[in-house]
Amino acid sequence: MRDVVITGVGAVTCHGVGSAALWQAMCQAPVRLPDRLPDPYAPGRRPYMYLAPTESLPAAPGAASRLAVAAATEALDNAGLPVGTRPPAPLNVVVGTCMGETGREEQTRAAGGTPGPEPTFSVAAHLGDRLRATGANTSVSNACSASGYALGIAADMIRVGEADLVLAGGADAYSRVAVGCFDRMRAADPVRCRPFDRHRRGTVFGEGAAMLVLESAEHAAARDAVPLARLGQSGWSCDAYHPTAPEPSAEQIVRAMRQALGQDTADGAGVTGGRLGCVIPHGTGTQLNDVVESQALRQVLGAATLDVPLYSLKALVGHTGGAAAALAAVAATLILRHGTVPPNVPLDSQDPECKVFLPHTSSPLATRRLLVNAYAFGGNNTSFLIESGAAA
Amino acid sequence: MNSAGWVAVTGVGVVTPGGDDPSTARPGDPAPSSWFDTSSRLGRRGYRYLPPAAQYLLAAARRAVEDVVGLADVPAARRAAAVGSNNGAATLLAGMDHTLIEQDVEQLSPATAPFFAVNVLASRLCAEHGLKGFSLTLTSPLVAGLEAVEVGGRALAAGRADMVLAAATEDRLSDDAPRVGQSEQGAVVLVLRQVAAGRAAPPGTVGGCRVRTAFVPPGLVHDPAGARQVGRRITALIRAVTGTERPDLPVHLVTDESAVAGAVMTALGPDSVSSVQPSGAGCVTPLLRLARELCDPPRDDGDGRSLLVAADEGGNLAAAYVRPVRTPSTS
Amino acid sequence: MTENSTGLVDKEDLRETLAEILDIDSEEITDDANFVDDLGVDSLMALEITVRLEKKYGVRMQENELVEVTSLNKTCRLLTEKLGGQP
Repeated sequence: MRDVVITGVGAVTCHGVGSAALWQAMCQAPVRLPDRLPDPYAPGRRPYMYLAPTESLPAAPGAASRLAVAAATEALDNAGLPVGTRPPAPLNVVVGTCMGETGREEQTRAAGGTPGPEPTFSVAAHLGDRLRATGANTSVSNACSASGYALGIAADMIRVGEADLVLAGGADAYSRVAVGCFDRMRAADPVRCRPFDRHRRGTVFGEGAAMLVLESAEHAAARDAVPLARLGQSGWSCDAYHPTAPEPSAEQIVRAMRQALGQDTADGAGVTGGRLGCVIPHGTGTQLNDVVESQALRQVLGAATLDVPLYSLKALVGHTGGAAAALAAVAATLILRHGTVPPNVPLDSQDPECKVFLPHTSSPLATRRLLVNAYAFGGNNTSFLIESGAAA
Repeated sequence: MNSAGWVAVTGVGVVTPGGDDPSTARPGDPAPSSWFDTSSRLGRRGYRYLPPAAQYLLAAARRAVEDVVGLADVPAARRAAAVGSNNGAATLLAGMDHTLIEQDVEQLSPATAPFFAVNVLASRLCAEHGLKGFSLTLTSPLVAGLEAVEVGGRALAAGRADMVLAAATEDRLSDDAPRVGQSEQGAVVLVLRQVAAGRAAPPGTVGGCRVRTAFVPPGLVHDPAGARQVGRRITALIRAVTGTERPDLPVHLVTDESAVAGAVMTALGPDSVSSVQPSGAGCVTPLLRLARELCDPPRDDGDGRSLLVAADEGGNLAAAYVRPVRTPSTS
Repeated sequence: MTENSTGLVDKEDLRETLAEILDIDSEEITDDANFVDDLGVDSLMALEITVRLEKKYGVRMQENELVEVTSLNKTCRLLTEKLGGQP
């Protein structure tokens, strides 16, 4: 099976444009409260969200596309394939997004107008047009795991030999309906996004985008591109249980993790807990996800559970929906590059039911291998490994 | 020609206002919402809280798996879904937004709130058929249904599943939507199995197909200097699915009046296009056409093989090489 | 609205209302059938019931009262209290 490597990353979050801004925020671990939504019709008692700065974003037909273009530009530049230069192989594009440009339609409606005929899920196509990318172009909308599936689809394309070069990631921007529905389902936290906190009451959305340049190892080597990391196997599973609640036994969440760790193979070996340097959990701040995921991690990591640090990214950037998994992949790549697991954003008090290790000081990355989890409504689960660039 | 990318279709289910027979079904001609009676098609027990696109998906899936051989032998963790939709949740989202603008969040129904995320349309499908392998929701304009076959087939080849329900589902746009007249309603579900090289097709196979998607940047289409590159990209797509740039096959095009459509027509060669069907506001029409080519191919010439191409003004393309199973009298 | 001046709740009307919300026959909603265990009500449907009853009877349910909305009899009692308790 062909190795898939990451040769460029790009990101936009509430902490600014660029993966350098993201790393800086990761190191500082500030308790940054979410922003008051400027939308006069912002729903709920606490209409707040982690908003991305928009002043320096490139123009595009919608907010999610603006974020995507910024992240993509950085990733391609980072990979030595700057926008405007013809890539050595057709560039394929796979973008995960929960809401697409729903926010643009909502803005039009609020202003008394009627939304135009442009498709809602146009982010991938806009990116493809902008980049003059002539490979495949796929929009995947698995809600809060969308960009995890985008990365998995991209990796599969490379592994089965259909593609050599894929830009994959995700983007999501403010949507009134998304915020409203979470509030309606009592899944919105009134304070901030505080996964695994004893007093957590739900999640808080964040705007964001993350893009990664994925290549076959051979293709990267042929053009002397130095891999930042390797994207390992991604595990996919589906709860087939309930539209929003995670299946309580965590059977399918565990299965996805085991697939990513290679524990589901005939010889039953694969990566065990002792050989993981860090886990970036899905951890959203909802009561159910965090406790179920903690139990699942204990099942998979076993005796090593309290030795493997978790890096709770959503506490830093909010829940970025379709971009979340790709942002975690970028964060994992940054952790690998710097060899440091940054401190977690402080919690008031960790939930004793969530028996996982959330360090509040930074530590050296003990093993150059990270696990990322991403789950979505409908029980659409994915887990994948980000490992050092050199072959194991 | 190798078997890479080839999938066997062992079940087909169609549900549209124009009927459930793939050869005559029509998702267009916006029909009154009463064309689909939930309690008679699905039963009771909360189905009516599912957005219509989720109901159509369930009904079409039940039809698709009805006569499928060997389904029960596939463990839950090896069954999966890949569902394409462009506007399956559009009307629901518009309605919820109106509620938030004109009233407040307290007026939103909790039971329909999860469906703000379009992938939740497939949630009941997965629960009903125990699809624990994975559930993918694809939203690429126009081609998402065909893409579901492509991505589902790739997942089979990559060993992620042994059976994939590949589907397209759409619902009517809201009355004030500019494209409401092009609304699609209904769903198409295909049951996909892996085709192993050198092995016979699985029992009950209706036919096989190979689908590939591609993209021609509209900006390149409008650029005189980009025309050659665009042409090459389209012919590369045709070669990828059929093995040749000028296949000797009927070619059926599903598209709009855009510059991208024009570029595709030019690259195919207008004389080699057998039919052009207008695309709707959704991804059902192309997948429905695939179902029709599989289930009801013309028998007067050749062996019923055909090439189906879908092209969207935003640049998304898909091509499907379709091979229905020969009937005993022509084998 | 069926809020009436005596503050009483018509149990049969409530039974029909719940049957309509849950999309089942009213015969299945026996006086003590548990919504979750016997009638397959999940967390979202429980919320939906609460929201619909709040609207119909013009009351507000508090978080700690939601545990009472688990059977026809208990729901009837809760609503009666809330309506009887209004000025």
